Amino acid sequence: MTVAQIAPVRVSAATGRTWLGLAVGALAALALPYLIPTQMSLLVTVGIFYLACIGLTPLIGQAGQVSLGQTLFMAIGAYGAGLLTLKWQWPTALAAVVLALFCGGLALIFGAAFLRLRGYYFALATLGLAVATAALSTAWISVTGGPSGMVDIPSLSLFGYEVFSDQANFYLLVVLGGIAAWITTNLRTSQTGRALAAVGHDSVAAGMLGINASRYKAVAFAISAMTASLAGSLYAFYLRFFSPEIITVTVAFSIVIMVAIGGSRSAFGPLIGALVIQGVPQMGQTFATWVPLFAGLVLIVVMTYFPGGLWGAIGDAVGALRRPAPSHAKEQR
Amino acid sequence: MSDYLQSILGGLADGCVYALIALGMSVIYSISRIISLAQGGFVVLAALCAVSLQSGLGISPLATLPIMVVIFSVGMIGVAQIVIQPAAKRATPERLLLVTVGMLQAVGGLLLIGWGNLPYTMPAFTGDAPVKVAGLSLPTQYFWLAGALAVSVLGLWLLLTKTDIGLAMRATASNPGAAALQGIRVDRMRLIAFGLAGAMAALAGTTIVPITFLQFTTVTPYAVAGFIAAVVGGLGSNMGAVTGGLLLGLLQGVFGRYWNADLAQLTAIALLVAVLVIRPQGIFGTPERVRR
Amino acid sequence: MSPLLTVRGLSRSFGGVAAVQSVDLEVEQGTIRAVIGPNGAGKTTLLDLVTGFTKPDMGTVDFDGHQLVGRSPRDLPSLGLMRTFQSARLVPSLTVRENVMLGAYRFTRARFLSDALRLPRTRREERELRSRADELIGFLDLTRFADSRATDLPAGAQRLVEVARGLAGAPKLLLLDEPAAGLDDSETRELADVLHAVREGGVTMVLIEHNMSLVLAISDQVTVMDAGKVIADDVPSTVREDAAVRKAYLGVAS
Repeated sequence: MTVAQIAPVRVSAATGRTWLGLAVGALAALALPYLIPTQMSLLVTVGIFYLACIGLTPLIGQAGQVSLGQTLFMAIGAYGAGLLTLKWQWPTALAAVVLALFCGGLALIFGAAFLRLRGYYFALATLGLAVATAALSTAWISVTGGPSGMVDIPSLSLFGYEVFSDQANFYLLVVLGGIAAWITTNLRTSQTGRALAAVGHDSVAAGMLGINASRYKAVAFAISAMTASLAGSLYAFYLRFFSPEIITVTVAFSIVIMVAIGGSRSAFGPLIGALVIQGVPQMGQTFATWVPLFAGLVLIVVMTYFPGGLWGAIGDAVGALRRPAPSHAKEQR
Repeated sequence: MSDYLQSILGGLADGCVYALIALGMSVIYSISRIISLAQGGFVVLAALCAVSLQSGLGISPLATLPIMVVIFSVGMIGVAQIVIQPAAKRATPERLLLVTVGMLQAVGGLLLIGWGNLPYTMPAFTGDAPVKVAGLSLPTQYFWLAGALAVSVLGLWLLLTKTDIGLAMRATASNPGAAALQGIRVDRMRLIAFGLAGAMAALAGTTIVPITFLQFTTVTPYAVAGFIAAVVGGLGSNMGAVTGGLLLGLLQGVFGRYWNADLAQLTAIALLVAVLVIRPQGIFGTPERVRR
Repeated sequence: MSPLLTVRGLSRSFGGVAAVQSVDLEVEQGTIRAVIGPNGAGKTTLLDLVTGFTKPDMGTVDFDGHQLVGRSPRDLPSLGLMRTFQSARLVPSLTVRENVMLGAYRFTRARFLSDALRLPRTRREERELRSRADELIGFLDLTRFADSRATDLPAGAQRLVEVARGLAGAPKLLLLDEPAAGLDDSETRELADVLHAVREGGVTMVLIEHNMSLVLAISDQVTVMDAGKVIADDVPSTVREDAAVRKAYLGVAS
């Protein structure tokens, strides 16, 4: 048993897998609109939800807190974008950015109150936000247009170019999703990410290292809010319409399900989750009927046996196959 | 005036269902510290099973009640054994919550597969002719609902205060570690709690479905209502669960008639969030378990 | 030279029971102090009081010219004080190296934006953190574990990783809570060697410990507590012979 057998394998397995995945992903992304032109709206939807999910990975995967309230921030991003552009003629891109920042601030405020709560009470409080969103979006007719929704939302206008077609929206989401994935990966592999992981594991011990647990959790929550808001705004610009049916409590659950199933500790996990939950039902009526049951069962199994999600389980399996257990090294000492 | 009373009573009828959902969640929570968001889903499942029994096999609506109670008590024990026990051993509380979300999702999915996306209802237990009381026209089913809630509350109280098992359950609820040291089989207590919750879900579903149309999408509103009622009332407090449920139903009934049902939901949520921030243990709960 | 750590009259009661009673302690720089005593003697409470997890009813704690009473535990690493825990609280989702890199947190603080965009400052710091962590890992002879998940390691190795993590913060004083708990003889000997080497590096240490062989092997001075009070405070050989100490331990082999 030599050092080489134990030490480098884990790291190179991870980076090798990452590069391969990236290459495949980039090629697939470029080719998809030509391979499956009829499924473009599905791809855009997957892209939107990927954005909403990837922002949750620092909070769920590192800081260990589950937020069921993504739909609140999506709603603010969507309805807000509609209002700002229709009523006050704001430029679309500016509206999206400002709303994202606003949601970040809102999350910090909510976080100050909610993050003091133990474990799942935080999740329940955010569930409350999701329920409030569903109710408000239907009831506050003067602002949201009620059940019939908000119409005539303009398309996103970027550097003078109107992002109107499915294809254009898809490519935009690929780029933004890629940036979001890059940012969350950077966070995960930096001191911030390590601090978040420590906070998620044991905030008391993290405090002993000098880490301000509340601040980190609050920032992770803010990140999830900002990406959700952006996703909401882009969805509104794409659909040119928004209604309460898009941000129901069921959708709030399904976003977390996507992250949990796919894996909250990587950039690919939420992609798998979004593809399964959003994509599979589109493949046919039978699929659409069976996916909810399947998704529920997979979530139960994953949460019980594979906390790292499907992507994490794959990674662990690959790593375990190539790496002998370090406890053998004890005999060398 | 009678109009007003009518909507209050209608709201209370819904409130009975919410109270039963919250009560089931509360019993489970006090024994195992698990918040089962799936409870609302099982109510709908029991309701639709009852409908199928009644319309498919010709069993009288009233007779479906005891059948469903038995099936669901046993069934929930099975679910607890297969799903909850392994998860409770391995998962953090946050992940356990997601397991119950998965269960809710799975039940909804099962309903979609088995019953499609159509709404269902069933004839009332004792006929359609309403009872006239003090100038009000009340469906007889309201009495069955109230009865179901009363039976559950009374039965639970009797079980917890007058039986040995109940004593063991109360001991487990107040201090699981000490209870285990005294030889109480904590995991068996957990199974019993789930069994009781199953019985209550069956009671709730079977008695409400003659009054309202239920379908696979109802699982989420019921889960949410149960969760609001349970948390505002105080997780782990049976009295709190019942109070919370009835209050929520009342709010919805009154608001729905005179204003906007969604505003009722909103008020309930505002109340929930306020409770969580100011007094996380709810109206009747005990404070130690919630803050860091 | 004045002591690095001075505790004066520290007291704390819980519900009428005095866990720590008027404890005085002085730890000279560059020494290893062991705090021993039977279970319930108040050793862990003393540690919690010094590190700010609990507020004392009375008394002062002076560390390197700073008053510690009233400070949050979070402030201590930047003052030069690091603490390890009884059950090694390493982060399971991180590798050994990553855990040790985290130990240097007080040097890098919160840099959300820079980390998110991998700005040059973050890139530079990551390199520095990594090389420093590797130095410490090598110093503790843990290099073969550097890329393994921290909690996959045997208990003894995990303890050493925690020591490495504590050292990564470049502390002046390292507080160790029962570092030898659960270790076998060879692991304890290894720990003793490591702690010696750490002292040679100029780090002062205070350890709470039950393992007598470790205490006798490495301490410069031993403080004995019983029922919240200090009953002896001297070099190991003298403490070993002390009648009051023997009585407190009632038959513990010495």
